[in-house]
Amino acid sequence: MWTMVVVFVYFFVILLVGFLAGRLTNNMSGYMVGGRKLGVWVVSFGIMASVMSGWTWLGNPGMAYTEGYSAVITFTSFSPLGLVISYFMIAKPVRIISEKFNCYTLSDILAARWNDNKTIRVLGGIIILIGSATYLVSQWIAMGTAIQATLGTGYKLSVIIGAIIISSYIIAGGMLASMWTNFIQMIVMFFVAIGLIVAGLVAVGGFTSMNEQIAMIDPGMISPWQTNDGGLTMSFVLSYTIFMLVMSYGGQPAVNTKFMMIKDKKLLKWSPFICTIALIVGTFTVYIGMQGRILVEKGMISAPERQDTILLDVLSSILPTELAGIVMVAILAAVMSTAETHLFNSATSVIQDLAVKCFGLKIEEKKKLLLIRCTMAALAVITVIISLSPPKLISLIGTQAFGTFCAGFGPTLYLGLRWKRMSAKAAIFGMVIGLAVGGVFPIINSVFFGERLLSDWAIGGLAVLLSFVVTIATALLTNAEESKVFKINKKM
Amino acid sequence: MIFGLPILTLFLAIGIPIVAILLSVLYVITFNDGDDWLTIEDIVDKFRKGK
Repeated sequence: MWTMVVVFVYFFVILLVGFLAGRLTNNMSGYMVGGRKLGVWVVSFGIMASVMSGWTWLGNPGMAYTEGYSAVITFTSFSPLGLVISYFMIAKPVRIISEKFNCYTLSDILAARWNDNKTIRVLGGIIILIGSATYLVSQWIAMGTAIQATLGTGYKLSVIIGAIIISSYIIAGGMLASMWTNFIQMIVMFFVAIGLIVAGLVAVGGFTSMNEQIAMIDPGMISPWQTNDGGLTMSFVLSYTIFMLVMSYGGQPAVNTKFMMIKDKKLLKWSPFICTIALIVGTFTVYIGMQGRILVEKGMISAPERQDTILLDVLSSILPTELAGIVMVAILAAVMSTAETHLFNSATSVIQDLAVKCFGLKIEEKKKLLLIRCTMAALAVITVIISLSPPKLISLIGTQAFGTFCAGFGPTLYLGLRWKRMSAKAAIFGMVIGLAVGGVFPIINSVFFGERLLSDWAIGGLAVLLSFVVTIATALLTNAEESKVFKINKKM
Repeated sequence: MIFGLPILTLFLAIGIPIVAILLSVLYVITFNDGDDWLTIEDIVDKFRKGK
């Protein structure tokens, strides 16, 4: 009962904030990039909330439950490093270019860099649409599971309830609503994560004691790479952490599009510090997985039926029932903040990137806003229907979206904004290889080879590497066009 | 073993996030407020002039 009250209060606050943002949004700039008037805290927490999905709270601890430190290192410890590097590489150029050339989407930035090249714009729009829409399906599924566990409603009804709440305020208020609600959601996640980490460490007798106990259960669990059958191997850990996290984290539209929204580029300098602290605290929930393993081995809680639910099982053991409700809100916040970002990105890629900029649809601003809202509603309905009984292929593409974004956009952005020599052909080939290896190859690997060729996460790392190699090679073999973005890159 | 962990595990799990925090502080210190950003060509140019 207490949990339901907390969740309903949370839903009410989020809807209220979303609709208030909607009342302040009356033009394209306000709807798409919050009018480029957002403060550093809202932007930084907005980035983090959209990056931390249900996977952070359920999947990561679940992996650590069986794999130990190899999961910690793979999924969490390198993310902050990749995030800071993305600031060094692209944050400031993206903010400056977006203002000078009135860019709203990632494809707008890429098109500005390569003189409105249509192929690059189409490719960017397609990658965002496929990645975001399928990611959205996976988030509806996660949200359905979370609401089902919280409210006790059936899975299908839970998905529909969650989708209606999110769609209503994001359609009304656009990115401004998304950023405001993300800010609140990240505050909830931040403090709940701190509480959980402290409570978990107390339950197992502290950090050193946790490590000693986990080593006694399985010595492989304190190794950076598990050598047991089915464990995370060295090649897996290193390919994922180095290529996908360190070298291309900023390829995610959920991260790079938000650099455009800060009100003053000078404020950007504080953003990575805020983000890094938030990301470290948020992702350290992974340790709950190992703490859960200790509690299971001690017989204090029963072994979970699915490892993904270990965090929920640990909750009942280390926190009072009243506080467990707040943790459920944090999990919902994680899923909702990610879902709303991908719903928004997929709709804007259809209208802004493809219909208006590529196919020359000429409409006035108000009609364009209406069209984006209608597209968002249509995409929400379509993806919800798919998520009610998701085909395996859609789920697979959804899990590959992160790798597709990193490989499809990471090398192109990191090199393109810092290397005048990089031609449009280099960008196109790099993006095509990123999409093909990061997005299509995992499907072939799964459908035709039963995932025997490579693990999906290792494919993501390989895709980023190949995309970098192809981009650099093509750039060296082709002539670069003069770009308008480097004409504004004036030394003060 | 430190904190019950092998050195490599400790560095990768705890040291890398600390490196990230230090880099974010470096970002604050080195941030320039102008409408410009460094390109690979600028770096190569500076290196050549330096020589």
